[in-house]
Amino acid sequence: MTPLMDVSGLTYRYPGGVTALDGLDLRIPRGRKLAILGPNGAGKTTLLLHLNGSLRPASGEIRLDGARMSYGRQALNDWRRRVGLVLQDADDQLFAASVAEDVSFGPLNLGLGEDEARQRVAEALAALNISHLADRPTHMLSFGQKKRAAIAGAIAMRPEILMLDEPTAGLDQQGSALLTEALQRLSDAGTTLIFTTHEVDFAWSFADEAALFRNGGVIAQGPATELLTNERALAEARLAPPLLARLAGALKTRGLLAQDAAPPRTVDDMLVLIAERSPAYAGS
Amino acid sequence: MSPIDREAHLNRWRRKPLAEKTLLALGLLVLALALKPAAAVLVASTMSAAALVGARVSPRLWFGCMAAPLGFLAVGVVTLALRVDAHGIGLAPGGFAEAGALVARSVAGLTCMLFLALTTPASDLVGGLGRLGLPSEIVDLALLMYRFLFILGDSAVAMDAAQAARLGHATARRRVMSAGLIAANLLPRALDRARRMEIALASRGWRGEMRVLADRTAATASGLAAISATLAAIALVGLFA
Repeated sequence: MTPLMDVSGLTYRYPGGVTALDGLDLRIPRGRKLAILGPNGAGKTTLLLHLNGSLRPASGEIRLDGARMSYGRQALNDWRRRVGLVLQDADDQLFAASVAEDVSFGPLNLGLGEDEARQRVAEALAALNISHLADRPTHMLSFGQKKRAAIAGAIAMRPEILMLDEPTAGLDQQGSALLTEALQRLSDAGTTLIFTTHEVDFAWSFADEAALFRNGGVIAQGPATELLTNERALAEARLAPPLLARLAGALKTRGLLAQDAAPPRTVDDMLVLIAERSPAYAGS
Repeated sequence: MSPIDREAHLNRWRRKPLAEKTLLALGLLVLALALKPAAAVLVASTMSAAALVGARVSPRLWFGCMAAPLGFLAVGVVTLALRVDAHGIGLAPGGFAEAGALVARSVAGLTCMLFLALTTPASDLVGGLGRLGLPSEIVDLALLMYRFLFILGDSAVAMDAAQAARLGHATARRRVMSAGLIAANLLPRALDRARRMEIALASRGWRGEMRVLADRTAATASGLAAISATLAAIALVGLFA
């Protein structure tokens, strides 16, 4: 199956000559949750900015649904309608006086009528569980609320792909949980998700596909459960394996987990696996 | 964020039609300046009642905001009421009447402006100017600046705290230098942020026009009638009392 988005040979140099992307290849499968993992400063944000045409590569190409993307005004408008972007700092993209007004910005730019736009705003706010904040001025929101308002602004345009730059950075546990739930609902509704992160544990619990980023290129890409247990690949990207994967590995070598047990994505998964192997634990 | 802005967003009359609030405040302002001081006293009481009882603005904030202008006023009144000449300090002839009129008009004007500031967010006011025909470029810029003020203000407060933590406020001289550093640092930050905001706006399909759905309540005939009646009553009292 052709990937929804196909990136090949992407090269980009910052003004000043530093190479940010160096012949990068990436496949974005349709309907999946793709984590782009890499250390800080690796160029992950620069990559996202290429994926909606905000930056133009020196060479290489990006295909969306098989069609090569171009950089004319009309093409860019269409591109950005299909590929939404949420920046790391929500303050960079919230600008209107209230949350509902801000979310309406994208739909109105699509040329939708007022009723349709209103409908989209209500849907987007409901999807992020922030309908009660509709009238709140954007500068009176908490960090986590701002983040969800920014995402609502992006999904109100109903993108096929939603890209998020470090979505969980700086969020507290509850904010992070609320965000993950909302993203899962979007994914269930068919939106393809791409997010950058340096938190391997978050990628492990949430992503189904992962790409490891190092020195301006993707050094490995594959199903999250396989790639994130590949210690050599992770080390090359300066990342450590996820805690749950390490724990499961250790328990397997000691015979405390079945050798063929599926990798536990959450603590609950892990508890189920342990209970299967040790009835005594299950009974306690 | 400033307490004034917070109150403007959270008071009970936040959703009252902009036209009604501005008509009331500006109408009363004109009356206070044009008519006898007695009318100004009425204006000040009406505005205070509207703000404190109607919009439930916090009395602490209301009087707190008045403190600084009242201080200036006090200084002005003293110079009007007193006379300094060869005989020393004495009361100026007619000085008390003049000072009283000044106090009444100033306080009345102050309450009108405060009422507007504390019941109506700045973004509503700018949006209203746009509907009155101010070019959209200016309105958009003003609204973006309004939003930027809070972001840069937060940055400045954070930098200030960081400087204080490293003894940047230890002496008066150091404090001045620290303030200069903040000012110098805010500019590149603001530019950086502007660049990122541009990317964010473009990503959301921006084509040079900031259009959002604003929920406005239209002015009602009964509201406008009640305000006009209030204005007329005060005008009559001011003219004939």
